[in-house]
Amino acid sequence: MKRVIVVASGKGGVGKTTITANLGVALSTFGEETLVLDADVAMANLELILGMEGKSITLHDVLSGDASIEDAIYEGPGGLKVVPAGISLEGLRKIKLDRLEEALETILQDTDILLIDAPAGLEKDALASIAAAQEMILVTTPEVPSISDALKTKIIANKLGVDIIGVVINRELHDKTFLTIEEIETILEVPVLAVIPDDPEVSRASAFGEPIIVKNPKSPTSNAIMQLGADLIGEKYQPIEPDKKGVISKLVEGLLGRR
Amino acid sequence: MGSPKNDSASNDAETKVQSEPIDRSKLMEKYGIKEMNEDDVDELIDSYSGGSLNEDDVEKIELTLMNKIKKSIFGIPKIKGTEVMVFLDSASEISGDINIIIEYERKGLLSRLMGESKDIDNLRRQVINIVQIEIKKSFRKFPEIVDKFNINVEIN
Repeated sequence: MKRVIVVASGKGGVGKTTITANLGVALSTFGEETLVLDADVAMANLELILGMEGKSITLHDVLSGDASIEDAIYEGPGGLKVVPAGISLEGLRKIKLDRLEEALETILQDTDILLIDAPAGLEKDALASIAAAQEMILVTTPEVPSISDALKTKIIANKLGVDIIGVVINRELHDKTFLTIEEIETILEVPVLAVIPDDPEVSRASAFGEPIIVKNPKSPTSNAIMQLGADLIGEKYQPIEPDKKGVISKLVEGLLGRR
Repeated sequence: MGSPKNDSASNDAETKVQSEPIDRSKLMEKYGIKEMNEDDVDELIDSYSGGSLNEDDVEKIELTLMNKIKKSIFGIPKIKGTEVMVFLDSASEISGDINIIIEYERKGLLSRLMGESKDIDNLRRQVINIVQIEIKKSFRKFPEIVDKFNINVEIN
C-alpha cells in the first residue's frame, strides 16, 4: 500500500528535518522505495542534511510545466529519492493544484512511502503539506512550547482527516525540568513512537552533509531512527551495538597496528 | 509501534505501571498548555482553503456583489438604468461571470456625430474598472481573484 506521511512539528527547530531525512534513509535501507518531498521552504535544509544542495530543477519547475517530475527526483544516500520543493506549496496550490496532484500521483507510482517534510508553524504552506498527506508523524522536544505547538498541529491534522501515527520525542535529556514521556503521551493523546536522545553527533553529521544513520550507524540516535523506520513498516530491527572499547585500548591497538 | 525504543523509554514505561494515571486537564493546567477552540481551528483551516462555500454562501456573495456593483454604476453620470448578473463558480477556487446591461442617456445628434462610440468605449472601460474595484473590495484578502472573473458589459 502506498503511504503519504507528513512529518510535522508545529514549533521550528525541534529537529523535524533531521528526523525526516534520516527516517527516509532508514526506510530506504529496509528496501522501501522512499521519496522525501521538501516542503519546508523557509528553512529548506533537507538537501543540506542529505548533502544534496543546489539542485536546479525543483517541484516548482514541475508544477510550472517547465520540467517533468522525473527530472526533479534526485538520488540520495541509501537509495533515498528526494524532491526539492523550490517554492511555497501554498503558492502552487492556488495556481497549479491540478499539476501538484498529478505530480504526487506520478511520484506514488514508483514509491512505497512518500515522506513530506512540512514547514514549522501553521501557516498556509504547513497546512497544505498536512492536507496532502494521509498520515502524520509529530516531532517534538520535551519542552512546553514545543509540545503546545505539536498539540495545535495534531488538532488541525485531525480536522483535516489526517491519521496521526504518533509522536517522536527528539533531544531527550533525562532532565527533570522537561516533560516525561508519559506526560507528553497524555497531553498529545498519541503514542510515543520513538525517543531520540540529545546527540551532538547529529549536528556534526549535518555539517558533513551526511545523515547520522550513514555517518554513525552505531549511535543511539541512528538506532532509534532505524527502529522507528522498522516499526513503521512492521519490520524487525536489531540495534547495532556501539563499540565498547575504551579510548586507551583503541589507542594501544592503533599503536600496535591491530586496527 | 507506539512504545519508546530506548532505555529512557523503558524506564518510563516501568514508572507508568507504578504511578497513578495522569489527569490530562490537570497536566495541561500545570504546564499552561491550552487546547485550541473549534472556532480557531475552523478559522485556520478556512485561511488555508480560502473558506469552504456552500450554495447559500455562493448566493449571498452573488447578491451582495450584484448590489454593490449596481450601486457603484449608478454613480456614473448619464446612466439611466442597469441590470447586473453575477454568476459564481466555487467548484475549486472562486471564479465567475459578471454580465452588465446599461441603459445610457443618449446625447444630442451633434454629439453623436462627433464621436459617441468613443464615449461608449470610455464608459465600458469605466464600468469594468468599477466592477474590478468592487470585486477587490469584496475579497480584500485575495485581490488577485479579480483575474478569475469575466466581465461583460453591454451598453444600450
